[in-house]
Amino acid sequence: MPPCHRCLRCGGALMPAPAPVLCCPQPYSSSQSPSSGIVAALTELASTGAGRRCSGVVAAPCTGRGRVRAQEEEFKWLLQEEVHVVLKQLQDILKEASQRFALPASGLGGAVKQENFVLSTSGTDQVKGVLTLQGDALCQADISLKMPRNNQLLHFAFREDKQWKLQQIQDARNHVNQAIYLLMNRDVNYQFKTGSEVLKLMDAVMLQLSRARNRLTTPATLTLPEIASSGLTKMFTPALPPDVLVNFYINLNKLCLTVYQLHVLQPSTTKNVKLAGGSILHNPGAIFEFGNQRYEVSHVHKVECVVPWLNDALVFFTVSLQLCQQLKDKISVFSSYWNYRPY
Amino acid sequence: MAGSSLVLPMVLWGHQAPSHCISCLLLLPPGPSVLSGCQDGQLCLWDLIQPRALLFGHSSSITCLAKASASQDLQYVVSASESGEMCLWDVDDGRCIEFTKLACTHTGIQFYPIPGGSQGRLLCHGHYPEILVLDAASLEVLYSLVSKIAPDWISAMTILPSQRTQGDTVVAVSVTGILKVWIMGSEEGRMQDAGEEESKPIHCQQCRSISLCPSAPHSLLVVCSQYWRVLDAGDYSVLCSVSSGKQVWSGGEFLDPDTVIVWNEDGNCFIYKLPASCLPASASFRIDVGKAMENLIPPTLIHVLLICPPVTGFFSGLLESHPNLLIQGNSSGRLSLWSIPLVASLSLQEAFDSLSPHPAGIIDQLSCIPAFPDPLRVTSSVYIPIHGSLVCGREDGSIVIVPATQTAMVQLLQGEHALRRGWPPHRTLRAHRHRITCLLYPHQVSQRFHPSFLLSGIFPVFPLSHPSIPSIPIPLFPLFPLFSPIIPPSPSQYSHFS
Repeated sequence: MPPCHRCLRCGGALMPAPAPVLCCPQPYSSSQSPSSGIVAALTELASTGAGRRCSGVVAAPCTGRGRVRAQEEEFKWLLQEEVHVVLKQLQDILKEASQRFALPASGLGGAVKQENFVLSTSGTDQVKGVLTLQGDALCQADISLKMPRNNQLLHFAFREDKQWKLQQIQDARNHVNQAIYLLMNRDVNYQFKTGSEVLKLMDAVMLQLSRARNRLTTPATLTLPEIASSGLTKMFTPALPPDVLVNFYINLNKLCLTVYQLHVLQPSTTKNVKLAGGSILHNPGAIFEFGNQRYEVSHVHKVECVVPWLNDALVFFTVSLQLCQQLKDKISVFSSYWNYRPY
Repeated sequence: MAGSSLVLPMVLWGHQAPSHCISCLLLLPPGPSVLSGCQDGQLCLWDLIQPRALLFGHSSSITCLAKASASQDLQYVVSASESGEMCLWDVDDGRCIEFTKLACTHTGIQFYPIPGGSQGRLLCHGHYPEILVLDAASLEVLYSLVSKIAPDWISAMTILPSQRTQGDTVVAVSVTGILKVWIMGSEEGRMQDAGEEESKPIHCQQCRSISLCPSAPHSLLVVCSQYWRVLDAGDYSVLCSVSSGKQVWSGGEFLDPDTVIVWNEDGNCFIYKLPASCLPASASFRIDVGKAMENLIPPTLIHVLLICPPVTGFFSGLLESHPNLLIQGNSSGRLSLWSIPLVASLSLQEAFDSLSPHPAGIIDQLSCIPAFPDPLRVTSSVYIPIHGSLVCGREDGSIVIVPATQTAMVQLLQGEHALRRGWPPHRTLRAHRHRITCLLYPHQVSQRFHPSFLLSGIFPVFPLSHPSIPSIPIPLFPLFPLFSPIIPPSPSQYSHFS
């Protein structure tokens, strides 16, 4: 027996759905508490669009043809009104997210704020990094490294003329902008005719959003020879010592710096060793070959610092993905009901 | 199906043609045949205009297709998908010759024949800031064309043939609207990355395509979603510009040196005649360069093809000279006539309907419901080789387990047995009330899981071998539908689902 029909506009579920199908986005609850700016932004959005409640209740008779007609009415309302409300909300949230990336839109080099981040660990002071992030590029970096053997303090910085681009940030921003573009193409004047049209759009938007999120949450896995041969090693003054490798990346909401200290393996001892593959973070003892020489990683230092606006952006991505999924759920309530046949 | 050493892939066709939402197209002379890529990741090869083969090789939406051989005899085509997969196909027999997967998605590929050789290169751009140069035969990345100034994703690219002695040039527009130029010099000893020759902001946001007139390579057509422009191919100054108004342009090409065809996302095509200031042969060439955009002489719209709002009539078979005539009258009193050459159209479903006998489907004979024309749809399936059984989840929430070999038999051998109700022998499991979104057989992914467990839908687990034991519902996070398992590599007792 199909369950009794209730009005979808005021939050009733048509079927025992896993979640209420129509509701404003749940306040973000997670182990990381969102920063104050994002709370304000989300509250503002809630008061403009998402907090709206249905005023008119369609009295839906529970039997026969009347029920079917009421559902058709409701589906029409969903396509014509509700979908656009959600799309507007999504656009607002994603524009907010896109602004966090604070990049010049036209590539004309408009003033982008420079931010300094101090990367260190609480326990030891073996490695300390002061990095300056300008949009998606690291424009300055100062790294101090205390050598464990002789406590000698090494210090090196980016050359004046060099910048290091964090591709993860640029990719995430471009994916968000593509999602916004998809949403803007379906403005208020656009009439959705079928539910599957909305599902297709939501799938496309969700693909871009999950790509954006994944770019930030999963840094590239590099092999040690790749790190050794990357342009990053040639950017410092004074030049990096040959037994030190560095790598920068974004992991979730954090800007990370890893410093590898190496020692050369003697050719006699290097029989039957397994070379290290690709990894985000290599462990001490990893062996690799570079320039006809085998090296072993002796020490690994990882320091990091939270970038607040990356945190905001990630929260916005999650909220938007939830909104997309909720809209998909609303649409599929109808399609699954209409396909339903007693067996 | 897998034996001890032989793996035989097998597709069970039903009455319904597989969904084929086309995402990209490629015409393959001299057949002629057309290759279409769809959002589900399959390619369909059409011999104008019958579908010949469906090519399976990608797991996500096809983003672009390109020719991959210089000679006409070898029909090689390369395809790329959202998830970074690339396949090299021999179109003659539908074989996948080469497969590779990169971490990045390509959104455009162009074939570049190496002058004086049979070899070729593939120039790829996409969700990364370089242009990757791949060997067209091995799909190996050889080197890349990198940007030194403001590197960003490339949204469109074209290859200009060499004007003088220097090599061919690659012209591309980045997502931030910066035009970049690289020279494809001789490749001898140049297997390392090359920086761009020129980088110039042309403020073309959301660039969709960039193309060159093949017969007169002096001007470039740049189509962005909001406007299209003609640029001088020499110094990239704007010769004319047309904004889209409310519609969204999605592509365009030169028809002649003085006419362009531009199309929008709603499927309407527009043919424009360019003003004299865009034509190198004309005396007034470049008179508008440097003027504000709104002061440029606009091109004249000469044809609008297949536009919807005006009244349109279609008259077939009335005139012998023009068997298919499309007549359109618009609000300004203009009457336009087109003679449409009959280029056929056929959907996959029509091709399926015309088959005799009809494909048997997976378990269609078990899913017929009296008084309903279509059988109950199968919404997910999994093949379990060690049991030799095929498990199908249906839209009403029931799960049917059938022996796979017998199902394959129905597909291959027509006979009375196929029509008998209740054949082949099967078992039905009922616990869900909604469509089964996915079926997972964890043992297939990792030996850690007990071979008798089957995971279905979102909530319950069925022990496969013991139907007497009731299903065990395990609540998982209900937010997103389940599609595939990701099992952590280290021996841990948890598995993740996405």
